[in-house]
Amino acid sequence: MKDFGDRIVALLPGLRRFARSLCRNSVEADDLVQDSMMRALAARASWRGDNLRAWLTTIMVNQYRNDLRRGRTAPVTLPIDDWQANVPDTARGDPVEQLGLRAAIGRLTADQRVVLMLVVVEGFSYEEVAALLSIPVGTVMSRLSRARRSLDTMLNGDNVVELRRS
Amino acid sequence: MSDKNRQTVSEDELHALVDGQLSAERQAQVLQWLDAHPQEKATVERWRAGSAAIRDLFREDDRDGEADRRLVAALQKRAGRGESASAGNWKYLRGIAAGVALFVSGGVVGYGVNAYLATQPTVYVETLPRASRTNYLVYASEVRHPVEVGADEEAHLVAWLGKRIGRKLAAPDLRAENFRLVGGRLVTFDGKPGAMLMYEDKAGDRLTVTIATSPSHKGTNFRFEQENGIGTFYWIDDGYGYALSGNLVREELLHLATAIYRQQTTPVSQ
Repeated sequence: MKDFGDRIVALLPGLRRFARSLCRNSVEADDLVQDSMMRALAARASWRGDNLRAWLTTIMVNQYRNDLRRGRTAPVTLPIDDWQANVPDTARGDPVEQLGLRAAIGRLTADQRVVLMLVVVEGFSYEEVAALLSIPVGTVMSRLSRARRSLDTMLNGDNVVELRRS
Repeated sequence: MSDKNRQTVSEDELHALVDGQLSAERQAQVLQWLDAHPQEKATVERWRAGSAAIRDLFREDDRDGEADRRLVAALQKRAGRGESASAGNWKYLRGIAAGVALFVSGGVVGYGVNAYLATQPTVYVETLPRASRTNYLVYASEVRHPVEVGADEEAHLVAWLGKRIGRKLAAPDLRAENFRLVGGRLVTFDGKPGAMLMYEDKAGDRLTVTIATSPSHKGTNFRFEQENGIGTFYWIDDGYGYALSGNLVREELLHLATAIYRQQTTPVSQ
């Protein structure tokens, strides 16, 4: 059987990306990865042998929330400059737009950002996200909806179409 | 199209369309519906573009399996130490970590590996570069606590480390080479205390300099070793062993090593 640590190693690039998408900068993201993987390794007995990536992701989200609560991670709303360093060199496209997008993501609430990233970047299904976060699918959808509307408002200014949930 | 038609596609379904979570059949229906609803269609297009832009912003880093393995091994040990008074568990960790035990310095791992290192027959010129590389790997990537004492307390730092390694110590000044002192920490080397100093350039690239006493060796040439992209220059000079590690090319490291060598041969250390 493959060693537990090896499995984590194989998942680390994706987990690191997820951490970066939540945090203000790569320093905080690295801390988040280290702290949550440490926690996972210490709690390995409680892993039930199913989807390891989902389990680790949940631990990371919990760690992220704890960090926010303890004020170890800076407030979510930040001036645009603080996000500047966090646009990776590897990103393609217009750097000004990326910067704007990065800052807008930073202005979402933490809960909205978590759901948006799990769906859009990490590719989990709505049901999987609901299970990961222990919330109803309806809550996933409303957070996703608010996240997208907020980004729309921030990035497209007056070019916003109001949709009604019906 | 009628209000009735408007009601037939919910916002949730528009998200599901963007996120590829509709059944093929439903997707076809929603796409058809969108053709008759240009406003919503524009919204969906915007969300789609937004999602692509977000994915573009957060790509996976290039995989560095070796570094990740070391990170997990180090975390595994720390986790093991925290949870295990249980000897069986510790043994298990020792077992899987056997291959990497020497990569992880005693400062991080604690008594387990200290004892392990102390019982191994060691040859100074072999252990020095290895310890230096270990220090670099473990501490240069450490974000929150890379050093125990920061450069703002340099006088205290060198006095303290010097006392612990048993000889007076001076921190090389690499500012002319664009590396500033971050600080230092006490490490184990060859079962004894050693000093590690860390430097950082403007880009955030780090170097570690490991210094230990070497009473039985008077001097050597510079030697160079490279492993997995981490280069190490090491030498022994006037009873001190030095090793410089960094993720730099050989020429840059040699330049830095030479700078350290030149400074240290004018003994601040009498």
